[in-house]
Amino acid sequence: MNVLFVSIDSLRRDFLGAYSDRPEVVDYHVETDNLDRFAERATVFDTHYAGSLPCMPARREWLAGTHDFLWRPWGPMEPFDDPIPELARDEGIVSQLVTDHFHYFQHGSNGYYEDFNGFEFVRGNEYDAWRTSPREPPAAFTDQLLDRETDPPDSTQYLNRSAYARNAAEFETEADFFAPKVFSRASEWLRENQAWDQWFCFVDSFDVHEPFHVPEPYASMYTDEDPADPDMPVWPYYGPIDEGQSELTDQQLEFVRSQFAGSVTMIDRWFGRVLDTLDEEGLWDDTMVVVGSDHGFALGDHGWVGKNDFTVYDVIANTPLMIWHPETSVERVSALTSAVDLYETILDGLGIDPPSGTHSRSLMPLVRGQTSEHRDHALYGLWGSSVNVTDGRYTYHRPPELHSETLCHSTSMQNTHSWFTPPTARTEVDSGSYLPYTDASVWRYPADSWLQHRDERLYDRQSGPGQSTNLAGGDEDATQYMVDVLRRALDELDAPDSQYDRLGL
Amino acid sequence: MPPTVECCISSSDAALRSLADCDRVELREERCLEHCGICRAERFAVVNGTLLTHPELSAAVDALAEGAAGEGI
Repeated sequence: MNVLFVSIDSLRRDFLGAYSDRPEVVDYHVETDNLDRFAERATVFDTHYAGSLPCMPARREWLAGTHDFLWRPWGPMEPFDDPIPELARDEGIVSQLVTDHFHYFQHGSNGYYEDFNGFEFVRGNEYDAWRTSPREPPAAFTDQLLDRETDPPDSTQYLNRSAYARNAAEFETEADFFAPKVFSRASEWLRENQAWDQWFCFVDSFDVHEPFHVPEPYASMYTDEDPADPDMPVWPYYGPIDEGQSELTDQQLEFVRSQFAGSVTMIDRWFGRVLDTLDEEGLWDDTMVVVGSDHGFALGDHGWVGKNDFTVYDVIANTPLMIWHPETSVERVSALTSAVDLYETILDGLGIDPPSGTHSRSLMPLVRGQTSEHRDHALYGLWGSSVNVTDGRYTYHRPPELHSETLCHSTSMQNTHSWFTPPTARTEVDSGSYLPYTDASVWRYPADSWLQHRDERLYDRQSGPGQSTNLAGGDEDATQYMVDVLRRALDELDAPDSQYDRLGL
Repeated sequence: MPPTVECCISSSDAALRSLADCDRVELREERCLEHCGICRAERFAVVNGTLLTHPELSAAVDALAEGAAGEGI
């Protein structure tokens, strides 16, 4: 069996017809005909949750089966990991990565693409360190991307949004944009590589991730604004929508939503070409196809824009997942599943025995209809902040204690909070075999915890859709029940003692 | 509406953190405000949506701590 794994970054599931008639934050339908076409063929998962967040921690879950965020932040593959492409090589299965995800090439993110037999990197998205000219990128376009005070175009600083203004300055047609290139390359790869006995192809689309820069007809598809208006942002800063650097007027917020929606529709159209290729090449009978996303993106939901800085609501954590397998016999799965489960699922599809000791559990018994149960609980979050858990009905969000520390465990010396700048050489570290899933030694060093919210939070997904009413404390039985679920979840993973301390458990 | 001060956990210091005890200031200490290039070079904060570095930042923090409530910042 071959496996095609398609990730569409930051894809909110309520923008997909398979999950919702219309998104929560807009009053119009968003066209996703091809993703819906795939959903009709596939098993659709209704209670699928992210695990470690955001982008690269999610990829370590998918590709190495490690529930990352209890032990370390955004970081590289570790020497003791068994990434899928490495295991595939050992079994004679050819593997390919097609992506425009610049994070694979930034500080602290090494080890993710190196094991693939081939990788194709579409240049230019987000902060991609690609073009350095023109020194002064087009002014009107630049103003839609950045604040000139914080990202001066003449600065060489890290994380300067001017990079995107240069990279995309000469885009003219739809085919110049990223999703069209990524999915076109994926289609070409599928056509050109059927001589191999078996393959694994990972198509990792950075879109829908911001900047939400799209060409016509998508830019005007869901708005009457002028898409080139310098006052209409396509790259909002993360934070609350009503104050600070992330403040947006109602008009700007609606525009941002429309460009996100346009990006989803553009992706959908080009994803359709991959489906067409699977049709034309007759690949469905011997190809498992997994389509999902690492996390959502708040577009004013709960008063926020972005994904990292606030309570990990379902708009971020309850992600879409659809799996086609020739043995598919179930249309919808309501069982609770976790991002880390994709590791064993893909290995299952490839016929590779999974290594012992990972945190992953194959979803294939659910797809085949052999069981309707999977997990009692799922943990999720960003390292250093709240630890979140759900049992499928409740979500419980436990912040760290004020002024607490979180321990980082890694073979590398990471920049724990500023992920994209050069690593920090550390002098005050412990070293030893601290991890329950490997005998390998790692560095262990502390960093400050940070707060996404100060209070304990509990939401009932059944009685209160939208997570608008915090039940923590008010419903003492439910609160205690979920505290017990959290303890049990941490116990099962043999989480570091320091996690219990910082969470006040 | 109290002035909003946003800072990164990596670039804040005791003076900035002391604003958390000030009722007249809305202090938000984030993991990262996506200004890593500036953060790497010097202390900064975003006060009412405007990024400030030394010496304007120190003056603003002193004024906020003394109760100037952010006028003119």
